[in-house]
Amino acid sequence: MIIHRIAGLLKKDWKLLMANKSYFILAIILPMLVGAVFVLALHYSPKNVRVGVCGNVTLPLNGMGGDVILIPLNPEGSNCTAVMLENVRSGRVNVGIVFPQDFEEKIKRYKRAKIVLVVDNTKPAMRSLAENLAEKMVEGYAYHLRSSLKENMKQKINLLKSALIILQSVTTSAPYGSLLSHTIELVMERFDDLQNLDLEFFVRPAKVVVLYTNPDLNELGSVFIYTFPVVAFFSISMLAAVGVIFERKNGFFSRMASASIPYPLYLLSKLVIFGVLALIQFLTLLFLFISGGGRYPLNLSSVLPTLEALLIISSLYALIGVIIGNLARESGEAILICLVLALPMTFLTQLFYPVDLLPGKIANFISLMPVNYGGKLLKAGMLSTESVLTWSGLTNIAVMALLAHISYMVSGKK
Amino acid sequence: MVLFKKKRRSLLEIKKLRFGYKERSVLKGVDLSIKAGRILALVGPSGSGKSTLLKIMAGELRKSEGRIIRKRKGLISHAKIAYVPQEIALLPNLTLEENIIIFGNIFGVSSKKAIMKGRKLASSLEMEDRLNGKVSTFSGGQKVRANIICSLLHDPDILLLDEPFTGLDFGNRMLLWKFLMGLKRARKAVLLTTHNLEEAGKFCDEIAILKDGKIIVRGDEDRIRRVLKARIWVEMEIKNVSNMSKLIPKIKKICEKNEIFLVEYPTLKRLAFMMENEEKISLIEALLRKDGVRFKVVELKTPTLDETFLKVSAA
Repeated sequence: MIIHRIAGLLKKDWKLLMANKSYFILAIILPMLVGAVFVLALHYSPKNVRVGVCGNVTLPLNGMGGDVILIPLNPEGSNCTAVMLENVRSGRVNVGIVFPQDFEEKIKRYKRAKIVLVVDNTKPAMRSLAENLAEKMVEGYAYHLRSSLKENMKQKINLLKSALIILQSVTTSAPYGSLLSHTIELVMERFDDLQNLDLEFFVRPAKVVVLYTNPDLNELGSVFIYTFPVVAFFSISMLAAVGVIFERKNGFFSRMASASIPYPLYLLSKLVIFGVLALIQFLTLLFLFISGGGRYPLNLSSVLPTLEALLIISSLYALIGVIIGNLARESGEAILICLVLALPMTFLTQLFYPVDLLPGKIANFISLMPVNYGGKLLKAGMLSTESVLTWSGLTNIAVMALLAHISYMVSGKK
Repeated sequence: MVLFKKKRRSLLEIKKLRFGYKERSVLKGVDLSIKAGRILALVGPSGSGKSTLLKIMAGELRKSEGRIIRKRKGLISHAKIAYVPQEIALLPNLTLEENIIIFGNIFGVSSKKAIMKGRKLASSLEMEDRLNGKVSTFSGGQKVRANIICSLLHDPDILLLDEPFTGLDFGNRMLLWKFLMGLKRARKAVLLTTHNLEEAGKFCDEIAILKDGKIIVRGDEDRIRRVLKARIWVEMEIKNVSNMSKLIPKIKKICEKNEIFLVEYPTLKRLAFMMENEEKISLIEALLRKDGVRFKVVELKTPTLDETFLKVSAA
């Protein structure tokens, strides 16, 4: 009897699961997506890192791993640092290394030299990677120098030995006073070298000085740029989707139809309300980050572009939410869909993953994902790195129109 | 003697309206008109397309084919429509007054005017003391009345109600009919769907029956009985029940041949027939006598609308 009962209960659960296919599919897709992201992230190795190099160096630039693409940038008569900042900001190179003019001379004389590392600090994951690479590079130099030191020392000691032999011979045969004094001078110089030897040099032959593309933005500040889109995407798309389902279940669309309210007007009201919500979320998060030590290059000229970016971000997310709401049968399903979308996108932000290092098409696709795209817009607005309302602004409007049309097309499905 | 008959104009006309889903055609060419100051009940078996028709008229669904013309004051300009859906289309966590303001605004009415109109409607529907109550706390009947109030804030010319009496007790139903009569006097056109044919027969000017995607008959009670050939209802009590199960197929055959509608009772102790005239009773009686069935005619009457409708809902 107990077997029949268990069988009955199992059948019930299986039938319920199969009857609601979307839950079943989501239950498989969600772990697959998250798993794929984790596999990708955990097996990450810095491949195809485009490293811009500027400065006259003949020393080998090894030690950075085998998958680094070195791009020499040696502008004649130009300022290396300025050129590198421009190249890193534009994304032509992922990281920039500037060797000062006295770098090689110092290294040859076993003096610690300075390396300037140019990093885009609006991309937290890339920044960590660049700093890590710089460490590796310095370690590489140290290895190279340590291995060459033995030979070098041998040569120097041989020189000292031969000088001492000469000294020995001249002490018995005069008049070789001038040769003696020159040899002793030479020996003294080498001894000076050995006496003044900077022992730290063998551990860290070069000192890395990091130069950020946005010096007024600190680490916590850059984290905010991607934290906000993550929070906004999940909350806005979910609220918009659940709102549509609530309206559908409460006959709101019937009222809207009998009141002859056009669909664009309905959508516009959603965009306005979610725009306000996004602004509240933005200000609250910004306050939290600033209280926690976040630093931003805030100025009046960035207020309007930031508001424009917020409006576009909230509108895009709200439209995605409306589409989900029209497709989902109930609130639980809508929330699950939003979660399935938000979770992998969160892992694939510049917060956790240096997206630029992925192969071209994949990197482009990932950078166009709503959360990353939101981060890009917010960065453009807050840091005024580029105008939000340029041609890409028109693209945003075209994308919003497309999403609005899709939401209209699917609005009659349920 | 009526010297001048007041001419009633159609506020809404539907011509050859078709609607269907991929796999199924729901409406197959519906023609219907609604006149000012009239109440029209649209009845039909479940799944016949009544709610779909109302949703198309309200603009919620897009028709596949056909025309819908809304007239106002004799001109082809849009008459205002109010649609009261079957579900309670209100915001449950807000008070009735807050709902009135929101839905009034959605209909393009200012908050002030919406409150004034809402209070008037609430008074007619005995809801004035619930204006500040949350909709979620209302009883079923109160929710239905609140639903109607929020649908009429823009002073519509045409009122479409989808099964407004479902789940209401007799008192609430009468209150609602009284309210609809008031709208009729105010020369509004009312179209409602209902399964309560007795009340529809009593209070509506006309009844239209929708079956298989078409209006099969429209008119008053008499016309419906005449068109459906269901003017006589005969009920017989059967004495020796044992033979009946064998006899039923034979009776069905006779009925089909002579346009008599056989109503099978849940028990075999009674049989009922609907027919166009009394003369046809003799055919049944002859058959029963021939097979040795003892019976007694216990009722001979004009069928009620509910009984007549059995003929419509039968496959």
